[in-house]
Amino acid sequence: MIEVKNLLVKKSVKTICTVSYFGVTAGQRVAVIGSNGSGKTTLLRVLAGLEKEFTGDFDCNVKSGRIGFVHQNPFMFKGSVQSNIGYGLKNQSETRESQVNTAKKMLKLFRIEKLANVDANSISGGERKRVAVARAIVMQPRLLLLDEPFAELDEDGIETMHRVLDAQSEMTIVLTSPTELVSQTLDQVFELS
Amino acid sequence: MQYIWQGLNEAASIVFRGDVEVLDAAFRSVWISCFAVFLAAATGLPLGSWLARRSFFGKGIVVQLFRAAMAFPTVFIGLVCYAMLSRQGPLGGLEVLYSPWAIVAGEFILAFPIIVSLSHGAIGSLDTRVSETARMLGANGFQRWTTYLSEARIGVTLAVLSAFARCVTELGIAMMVGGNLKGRTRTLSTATALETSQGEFAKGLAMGMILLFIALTITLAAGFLSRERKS
Repeated sequence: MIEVKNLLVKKSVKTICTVSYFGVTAGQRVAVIGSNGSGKTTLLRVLAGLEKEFTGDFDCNVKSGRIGFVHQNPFMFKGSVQSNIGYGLKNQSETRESQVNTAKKMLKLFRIEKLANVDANSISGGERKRVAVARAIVMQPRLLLLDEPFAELDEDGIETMHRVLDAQSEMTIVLTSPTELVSQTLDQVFELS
Repeated sequence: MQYIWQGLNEAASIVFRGDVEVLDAAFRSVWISCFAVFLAAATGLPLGSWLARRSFFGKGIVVQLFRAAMAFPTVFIGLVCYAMLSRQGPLGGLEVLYSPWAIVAGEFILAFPIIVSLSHGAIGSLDTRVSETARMLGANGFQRWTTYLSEARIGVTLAVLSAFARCVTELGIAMMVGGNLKGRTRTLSTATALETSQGEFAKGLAMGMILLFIALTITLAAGFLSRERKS
């Protein structure tokens, strides 16, 4: 599904990510771990197609429209949490009713129903992360890329996130995480030095 | 001082009496400026957004040129429009000189760089995650653009209000290409200048008061929006 060989990403003269080999097959759950500045986020951005300037071989057979990406510090659009979750569906010209119903289901799944009509820019970092992952899952991507999805989450949040991600059996999930938070349900752990 | 006080009293009486000439000039000023700003926003917002999101050789110069154009004297724009629209000019065949449409054209040239520059600033300062998030959530080019406008709506509204304030209060363009024709091209600013020069101080002051009221309303609205942005 994804194969990366001899990846090198540089910003001016500084090397920010080097990967000799990274491969993921469909349906796998993969964690990319490594210390701060090891290039985890950059690798994820390359996979998402957000980082264009790199050298090496990169092969991904997922269409760009079927890739979901959640930033380490997700951006919330102006408006309510519910409208943020429905943003992608609105882009697909789904009816207002469908957007609201799907958003409500997602809010329930992530146990944040009470946030439905709250201003998305006033919620906490952990809640923001849950909303951003919900917003990405709504689009039913084939490949879901999550940059540190467990950061800023409390115990309940981590448990909910694991439960929701485990339920997405159709999706291939690549996430970055500090070593200590890596789940037992992962198929592969890839360490960046 | 008594002269000014007396003028103010008469001006207030003219405004509240609803003098036909004054209302006619006020209505014309507003519709001409609204139309010019509408055209400038319809073309300037896409260009300002495009400049904010794209990188190309010479972009800095283009942005600087638009910023410089914000300070163009209205009498210079009027002169250029006159040269273009007069019978000997390249657009003389349109025969719009000394019509409201000539003023619309001039005010469009006045408003366009203001909207381009200010919207470029507002959209250019948006977080890069806005574009990335919208793209990853399936937004096409047009949907991303509307998202930029929505996220930068205060800055974009300020851009449009600033352009309107500049247009509705300008004198040079209306005088040069409008000709200040009674009942046809007379606007509040040209009428104010004319009435005062003819010794009709109270009438000039009445029109000036309406102009001031419009300008103050827009400035207050812009100030309110800026404060909202800070908070």
